[in-house]
Amino acid sequence: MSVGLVPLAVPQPEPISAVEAALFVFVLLTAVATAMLRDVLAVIVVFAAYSLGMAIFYAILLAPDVAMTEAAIGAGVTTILLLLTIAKTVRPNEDRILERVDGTGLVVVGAFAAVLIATVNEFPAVGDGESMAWFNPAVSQYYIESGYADTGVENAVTAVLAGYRGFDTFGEATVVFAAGVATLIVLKRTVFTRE
Amino acid sequence: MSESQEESPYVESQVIMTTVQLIAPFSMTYGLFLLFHGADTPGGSFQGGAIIGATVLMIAFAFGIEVTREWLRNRTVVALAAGGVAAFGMVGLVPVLVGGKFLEYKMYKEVFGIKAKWGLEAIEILGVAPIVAGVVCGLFFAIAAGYLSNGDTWDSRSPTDADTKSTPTTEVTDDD
Amino acid sequence: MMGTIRAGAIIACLVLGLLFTLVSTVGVLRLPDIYSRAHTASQADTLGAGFAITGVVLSLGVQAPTIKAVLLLVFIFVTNPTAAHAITRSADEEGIEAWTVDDDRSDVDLAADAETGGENA
Repeated sequence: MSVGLVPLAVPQPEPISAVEAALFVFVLLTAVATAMLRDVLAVIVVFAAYSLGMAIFYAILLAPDVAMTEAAIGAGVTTILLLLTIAKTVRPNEDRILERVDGTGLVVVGAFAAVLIATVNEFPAVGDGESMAWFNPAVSQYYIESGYADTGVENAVTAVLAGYRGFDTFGEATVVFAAGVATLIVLKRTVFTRE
Repeated sequence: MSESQEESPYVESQVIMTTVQLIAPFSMTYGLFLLFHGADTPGGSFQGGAIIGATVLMIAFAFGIEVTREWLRNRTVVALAAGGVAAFGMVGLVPVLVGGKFLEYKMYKEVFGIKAKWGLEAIEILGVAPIVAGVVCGLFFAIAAGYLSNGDTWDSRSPTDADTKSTPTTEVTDDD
Repeated sequence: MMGTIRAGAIIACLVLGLLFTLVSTVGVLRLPDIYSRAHTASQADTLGAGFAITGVVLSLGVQAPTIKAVLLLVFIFVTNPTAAHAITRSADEEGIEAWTVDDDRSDVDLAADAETGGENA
C-alpha cells in the first residue's frame, strides 16, 4: 500500500480556459432561460442546448461516461419525450415571454445559492494532485489500484458501477423499469406499443 | 394556399427516411459498441442502451410512429425491460444459491470457473442495457399513444388511425 | 516548408469556418421568415462546421482520431440539412406561408403568424 499513498500522475490545476469560460456562460444562460421562459416549446429547445453544454463540460472535466449519458439521455431522449408530451397536451399561448419573478422565491433561492457559492472556495482545483481525494487510499486509491485485479475490467467507472456498487446499480435499473410501469399506470394502459 | 395541404394526410418525408436509413446503422453500431466495449473504454450499458433506444425513436420519427408501433410488438419491449431486471436478479442470485453473497462475482470463478469479468459483462449486457433500451422505447410509444380514455381499447392520434384498430393484427408478420 | 503550408491551410479552414458560421448567425437573426432562416442555418452553418472540422482533420494528420473527425464531417453534412428540411416541412404542414418580395407583413406579423400556425393569415 505504500505506492498507494503517492498521488498518481494527474494534471496540475490550470487556470480556466477561454473555451471553458464561454461554455460556462452558455450553460448558465441556458439554465436561466429554461427557468424563465413561458413558452414550453422554447423551454424544451433551450433545455436540450443546456444538456449539450453540460455534456461538453463533462467531457472537458475528463468524465466521458457521464458526458455520453448526458448527451444521450439529457439532450436526446428527454427532449423527444417532452416534445411528444406537449404534442399530446396543450401549449399555452401567452403574450408574456418571461415568467414573472416571485420576490420571496428569489430571496430564498438567492440565499441558497449564496451558501453554495461560499463553499466553492473550499473545493480542490480540477486535477489537483494535492487534493484530499487522493490521500484517501481507503476509497479512491483502492478502486484505481485494485479495480482491474478484482473485476477484470479496464474502465474504472464500469468496475465501480457494475462491480463494487452492483447492488446500487440493481436498484437503479429497477427504478428505470418502475418508471416505465408507472407511465403505463398514469396513462391507464396495459401495453407499451401494441398487443 | 395551405387549405388543401392541411386537409391532405401527412406523408412521411422521403429525405428524412433516406437520411435515417443512412444514419441508423451507424448509431445502432455505436450503441452496441458502447455496450459491448464499455468494460474497457468509456461508455457502458446505460449509455449503449440509451443510444439503441434512441435509434428506434429516430426510426419512429422518420417512418411514422404508427408504422414503427406495428413493427415493434409490445412483447418485445416488455421482454427487454422485464427480462433485463430478471437477468440482473438471476446473475445476482446465483452466487447466493452456491453459498456466496448477492452479486459476489468471485463465486462464479470458484464454483463454475467463469472469470469474474463475465459476471459484470452479464449484468451490463443482459441486465441494464435491455432495461434502458426497452423503457426508452416503451415510454416513447406509450406517451405517443396518450391517455387512454374510457371504453377505448386503442387510442390513436387521429380518427383515421383509430379505424385501423378494428383490422386484425394478423396482417403484422409475426417475426419475433 | 510543408509545415508552413499545412499551418496556413489550417488557419484558412478555421477562418472560413468562422466566416460561414457568422454569416449563418446573421442570417438567422436578420432574415424574415422560417424558410429563409432554415436555408441559412442549414447551408452556411453546415459549410462553416465542415470547414472547422476540415481544419481539425488537417491539424490531426494521419492518425486514428482523424477517422472520427472525417466521420463527424460526413454526419454533419448529412444530418444538418435534413434537420432543416424537417423543420421547414413541419412549418409547411402547419400552413405557415413563405415570405415574398411583395409581402407587406412586418416582422411582428410574421412572428404572430408562426405562433398561430397561419390561421389569421
